[in-house]
Amino acid sequence: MQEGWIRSRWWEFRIGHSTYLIFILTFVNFILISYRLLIERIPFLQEIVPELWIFMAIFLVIYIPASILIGFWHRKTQLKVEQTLMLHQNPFIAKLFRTLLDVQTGTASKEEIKEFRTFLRNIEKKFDVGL
Amino acid sequence: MGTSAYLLIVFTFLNFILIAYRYLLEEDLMIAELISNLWVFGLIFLITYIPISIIIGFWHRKTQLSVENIIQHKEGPFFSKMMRVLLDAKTGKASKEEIEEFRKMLLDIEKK
Repeated sequence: MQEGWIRSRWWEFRIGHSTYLIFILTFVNFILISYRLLIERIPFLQEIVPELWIFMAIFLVIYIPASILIGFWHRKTQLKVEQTLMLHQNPFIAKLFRTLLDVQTGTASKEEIKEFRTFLRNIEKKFDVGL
Repeated sequence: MGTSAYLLIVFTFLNFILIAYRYLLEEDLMIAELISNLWVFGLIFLITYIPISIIIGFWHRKTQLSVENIIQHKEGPFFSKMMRVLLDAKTGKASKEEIEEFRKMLLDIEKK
């Protein structure tokens, strides 16, 4: 129980970090490195962007809509390719569906069904999903 | 997986702490007085970051994960095909050839 709780919090920490907060860290890193090591050292660029916060504002105003547009394009065109390719390389899901299909069509033997059911039950026992 | 799920977190934190401290906090005299040491900044950062990250992850699991799963499945033609063939097999709409062809494809994936 305690182990499950810790692992759940660890998963949540990773998701919070890798899905959300990583953006802030990456943005801060990029803005500081670009400004301090590039813009500040080139007088022409320094004249255009004289302050760090101005550079940050320009960057965010361009970056956020661009990122949303790319995400939209990804969802509309690439996601189906990604999903299809992932499932085509997923023997577990294929076995699950094939067994269900065999049960439906009467091709699966009683032993095969029993074996597969035990296999699923063993996976279920690995982690309490009712968190 | 070892890199992306575990070690990368350490690298990211180290990068952020060093860059933010050297290029932002040290340049500001007022902040530099408050946080005079890199280790102090590192410690403050970690103490703040870890609980916030867990809270956001919890919120993600409770609200966003379902949205993510729905979008992914709605854009998953192969998963829909698998469900549809099962449904057709159950309702008798699928022909024997279609079932056999689909079964063969699944067996090929299983062998991978």
